[in-house]
Amino acid sequence: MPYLKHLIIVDADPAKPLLDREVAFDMDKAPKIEKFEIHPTLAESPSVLHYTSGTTGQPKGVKHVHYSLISQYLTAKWVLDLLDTDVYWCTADPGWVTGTSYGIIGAFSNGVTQCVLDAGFSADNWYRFIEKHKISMWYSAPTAIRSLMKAGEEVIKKYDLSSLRHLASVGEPLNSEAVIWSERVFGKPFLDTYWQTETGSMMITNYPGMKIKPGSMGKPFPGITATVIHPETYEPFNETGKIGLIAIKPGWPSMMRTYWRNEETYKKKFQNGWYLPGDRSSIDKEGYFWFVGRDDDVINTGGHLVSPFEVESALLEHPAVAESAVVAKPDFVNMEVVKAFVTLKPGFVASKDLDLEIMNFVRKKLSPLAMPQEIEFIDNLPKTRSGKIMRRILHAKEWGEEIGDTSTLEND
Amino acid sequence: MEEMKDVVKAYVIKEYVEDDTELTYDTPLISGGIVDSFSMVSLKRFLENKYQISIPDDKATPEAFDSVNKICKLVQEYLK
Repeated sequence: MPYLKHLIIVDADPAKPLLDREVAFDMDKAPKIEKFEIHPTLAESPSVLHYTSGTTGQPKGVKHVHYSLISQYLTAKWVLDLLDTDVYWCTADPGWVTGTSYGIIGAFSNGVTQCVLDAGFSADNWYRFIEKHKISMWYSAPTAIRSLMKAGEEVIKKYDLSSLRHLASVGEPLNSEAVIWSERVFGKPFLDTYWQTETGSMMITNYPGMKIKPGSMGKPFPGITATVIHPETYEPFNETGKIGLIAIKPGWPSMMRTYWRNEETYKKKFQNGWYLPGDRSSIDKEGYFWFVGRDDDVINTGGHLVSPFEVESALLEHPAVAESAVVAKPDFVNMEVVKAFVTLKPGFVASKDLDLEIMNFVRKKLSPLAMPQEIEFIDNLPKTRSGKIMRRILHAKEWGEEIGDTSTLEND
Repeated sequence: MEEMKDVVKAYVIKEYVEDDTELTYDTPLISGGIVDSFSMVSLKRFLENKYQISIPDDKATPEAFDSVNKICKLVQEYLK
C-alpha cells in the first residue's frame, strides 16, 4: 500500500516497538485542543467507502459523499424519532453501513445521547445494558431479534426494560412473527426499515404514526419515489399486488456515487430511469411494500414464483423453529423446488416426525407450492459478520456450484 | 392391509381434505386434485415414518400415489 502514510495504533502496547508508518495514539495522554480546523468539504466530497457485506458475491466498494448527511439526519430524526431526552442504542458495528449511517452520522447530527456495547451477544448482556443505561430508542437487526426470541421470555423478566420507547430494525426483512413478538414482550413493535449500503439511508420504511402491518417493509420515506417494476420491461405496474423489482427514482442525497473502480457494475444498477436495489416485492392497495426476496433468491418452481422470505416467516411461526433459510433446490420435473434449512430452539430435537410436522405446518399456512420439499436441520446458518443469512452459499451447495467469495462469512 | 387402508385414508382426510369430499379407497387423489403433486412429498414422508420404510423417489410417482389402495400396495412392497 504505497499511498498509506500513517497507521494509527490505539492503545498500543508500550513494550512493543512501533513499525514503519505506525503512530501510537492514547486518548488520555493526547494533548487537548480547543479549536479544530475542519477540512472544507463540499456536498460532493467523498465521505465514506463502504464495502458491501457480499450476500450475493464479492464485496464492492460503495462510495458515498458528504451530502448523504441530509438523508441520514432526516431519516434518523423522523423514523428513529430521536429526541433530546432519548438514550439511543444502535446495535450495529460501525464497520457495517448501519453502524456508520445511524450509529455515527445520523446520531451525531441529531445530537442524541447514545451508548455502544462492545461485547458478544447474549440476551442477558443486552437486556442488562438496556436496563443499566435506560435505553429508550433501540435500533437492531432481525438476526439479533430472532436470537432474543430463541432465548425466550423468562430472561426478560429479570430486567427492567420500561425505558424502551421506540424500536426499529434493519438488515434483513423483519418476519411478522418478530414484530408481533416484540409488541407482546416489549409493548411495542420493531419497525422494519428497508435500505442498503448503496442507498446510504432508509428508503422504504415503517415510521411513527403510521399503521404497522407486521411483515411489511412499510412505505417510501417522504421525498423518496419508489415503486415495483416489471423485471423485463422495467416499466411500473399499473395495478397493485404484482411482484416485481423494487425501483427507486435516483437523486436522493445519500445515493451512492459509484462502486469503487467498478463503474460498469454501477451503471447496471440503473434501468429505464430507476435505481434497482436488486430485491423483489409487491405493493398492496394501501401502498405498503411486501418483500418477496433478493432477485437471485426468488424460487421459480414449476413456473410459479415462491418468496423465500414468506416461507421463512411461516417456518418461524412453528414453535420448534429458531431460524431458517430457504433456497431453491434443483428438481427434474419442476426445475426448482423449495428447500429449507432450519435451526431449532432449545429443547427441540431433529427427527423425521418433526420434519413432517413442519412440512405440513407450512403447507397449510401457505400452500403446497411453498411447502419445503426437503428440510435439513443444521446447527447454524451461514451468515455474514453483520448477521445476514448467506443464502447463496446454501444455494451453491445444492446446485454443486462454486461457493464463491467467503471473505465476509462469519467464523470463516 | 385393511387396517393400513383405514390409517392412510384417515391421514389423507385429516391433512388434505378441506371440505366434505367423500373419500373411498379408490378415489383418485392426485389426478382428482385432492393431493397435489407438491404435497406428495409430505404424504411420502408420513408413510415412511409410519411404516419405517424408505420409498425410492423414482417409485413415488403420481400414479403410485393416486389412491389409498395404490398407496397401500406400494407400501407393502417395501415393508420388511
